[in-house]
Amino acid sequence: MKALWQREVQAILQRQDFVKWWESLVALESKKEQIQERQQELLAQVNLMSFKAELTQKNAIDSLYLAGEHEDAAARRLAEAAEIENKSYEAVANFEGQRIDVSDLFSKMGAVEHRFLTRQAEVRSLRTELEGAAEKDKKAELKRHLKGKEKELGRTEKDLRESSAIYERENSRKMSLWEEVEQMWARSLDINMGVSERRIKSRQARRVAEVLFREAEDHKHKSEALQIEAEAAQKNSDEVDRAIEDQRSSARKFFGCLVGEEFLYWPRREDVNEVYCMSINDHGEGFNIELQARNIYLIHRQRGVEFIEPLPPEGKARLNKDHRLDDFFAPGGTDGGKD
Amino acid sequence: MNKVTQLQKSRLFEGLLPEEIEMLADLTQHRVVPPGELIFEQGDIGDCLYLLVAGSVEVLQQGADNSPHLIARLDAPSFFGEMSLVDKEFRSASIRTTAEAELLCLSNENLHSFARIYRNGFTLVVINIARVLSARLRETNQKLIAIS
Repeated sequence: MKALWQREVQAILQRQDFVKWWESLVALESKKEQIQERQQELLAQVNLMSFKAELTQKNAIDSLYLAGEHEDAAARRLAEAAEIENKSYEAVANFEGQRIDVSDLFSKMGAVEHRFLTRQAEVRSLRTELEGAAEKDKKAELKRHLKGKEKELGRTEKDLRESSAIYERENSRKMSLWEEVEQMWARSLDINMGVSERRIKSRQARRVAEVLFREAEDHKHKSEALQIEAEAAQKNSDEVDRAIEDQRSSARKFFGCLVGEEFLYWPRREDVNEVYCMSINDHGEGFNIELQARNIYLIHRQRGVEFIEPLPPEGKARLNKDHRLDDFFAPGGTDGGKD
Repeated sequence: MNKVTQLQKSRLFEGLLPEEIEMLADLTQHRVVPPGELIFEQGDIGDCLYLLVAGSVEVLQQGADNSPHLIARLDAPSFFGEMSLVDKEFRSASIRTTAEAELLCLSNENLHSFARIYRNGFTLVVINIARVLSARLRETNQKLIAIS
């Protein structure tokens, strides 16, 4: 590789073929950047779509489990309702028995009441007869008879009170049995309504699961399609990479330089320990100075691009002609104490 | 931002030739620092000076109680960290931005590049730094006399 003067390197960069080479490289780099951006976007979409597919499938499975749970709950409630209905038949039978008993008691109580009223009327009649009787014997006979009837009336009254109390008690029990029957029917109705609701919920959850399974499949297909597109973009990117590599390699042949990933290098003829380098891209940071693409910089053979310097002006014969320091150090020179 | 214009405004580069300023512009790095951020801390190894081209910073020094004490505020255009180019010692104070600050950093190593090519220009930069330090020393002396 031939060492070049600074002006020779600068002349290469001005040549028409170099400008064309550079423009092609920039176009390829730009194309690569676009492809990579698109590829990254596609890969992100692939991941997102795969994640969506997995999540949707999981939700579908959850929904299916939920449908099963609703069905189980409906079955349990149905069994509970059947048991309550069976118990309600027994309760109705109990009630019927009690109703007949109470009806008998009512009849009996009516008979006792009738007997009581008859005795009451008889006592009243005897008392009237006694008040109107004139004969002594007749009065004594009526008194004895009245006494017997009053005793009977007392017994009948007691019987009436007892039979009335029994009737009230048994009637109350009958009402209580009916209330129990009604409660069972209400509970059974409540459960039956719950069963139908659970069945509807189960059907709904199954429908949701079916929709989610379809969506998951759809996401999977989309993810696969995106994956194919991303692979095509990767292939395209590889082709552009090869084209960039070819373009870079051609620089060695056409412009007599060494080709790095980020720089072109020419050995410096002015100093064998130094090398000219041209940055292929802009670099705001990452190096000791800010680099601009297509600018020439100077580096040392040993340190390479770890320490980059701007180009010095050609021919540094300035030192001898520069009198600024002489002015400063001369008596009465530059106003050194101004600050 | 035009680095050359900013460098021309600074006292540090008074007397330099246009091509020297241009090279220094190539050797400086532009940084934007959000408010409230430390640019460097007291005790850090100093390896560059900073030109404050926009915004403002505060100079903080650790007191005996270990808490930071405000010793100065600097507004653009200004500079700090120049002592490290002279004595290569640890930073004597911390610098924290009080508003978004735009800085131009010139490292020791890059200044050395400048010195290898423009020796007189480099000497002028050093003299300018010495002037600033000298002015600060005089100011401190005056304060001490006033106190005593």
